[in-house]
Amino acid sequence: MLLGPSLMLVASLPRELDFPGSWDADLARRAPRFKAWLELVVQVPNVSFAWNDGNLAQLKAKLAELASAAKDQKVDRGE
Amino acid sequence: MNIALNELDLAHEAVHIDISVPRPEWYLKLNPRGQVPTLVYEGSVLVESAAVVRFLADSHPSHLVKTSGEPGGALERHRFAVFVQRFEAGAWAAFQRLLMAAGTGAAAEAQAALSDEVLGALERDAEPGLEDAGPFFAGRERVTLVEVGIPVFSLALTPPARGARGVCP
Repeated sequence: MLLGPSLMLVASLPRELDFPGSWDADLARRAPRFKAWLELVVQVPNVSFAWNDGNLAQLKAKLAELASAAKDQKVDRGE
Repeated sequence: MNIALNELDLAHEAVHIDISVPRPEWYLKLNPRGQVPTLVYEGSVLVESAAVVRFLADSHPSHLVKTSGEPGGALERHRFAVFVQRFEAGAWAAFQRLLMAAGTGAAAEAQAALSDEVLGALERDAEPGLEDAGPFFAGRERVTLVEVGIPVFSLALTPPARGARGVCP
């Protein structure tokens, strides 16, 4: 089945995360299978897309573009 | 959802919105609750990413999961669903609370307790379910509905995804 231009995905842009300092060591000790599995999953091409630096840069540029457009709209409305 | 679309090789147009500001009106017309993501599929508006991923897997038989009619298909689907459901209800839910606590500057002790809760849930729910991973879920050689069905933000639980950037999609 071929999907045409009617298919549209709306996704979110990056956000910052913070982790406790001992997180990685604790994860390796308490959930080693999960850690190994997840480390493999993030390397799958269709998954790693999300973590690719080039794609990340594109997303950030898009975010800046959206912010700028929103600012312009406010100016246009005299806000 | 994005991973599922790519894994199924389904052509689509991605439209990004800034979730740090109120949702635009056009988006709320599609999804009045304002949740992301939203998928418009042949004119139908589909929401709730986990449900959409299952819909895509149902609509496009693939390596992700057996169809219900295949031998062992219904049981496989049950096993996959149980893993994802327990992961979401346990580790993922606790991780979200940890992120919220960190974001609101909660006390270190409170954050440590939540961190312990995430790890405890992974020990209890994820570790047994991954006993036969090889390398992917249930001994599969390619990703399954489990790998594409877990919340994408949870990939940041491990350093390769988080990297030095500390950013997740």
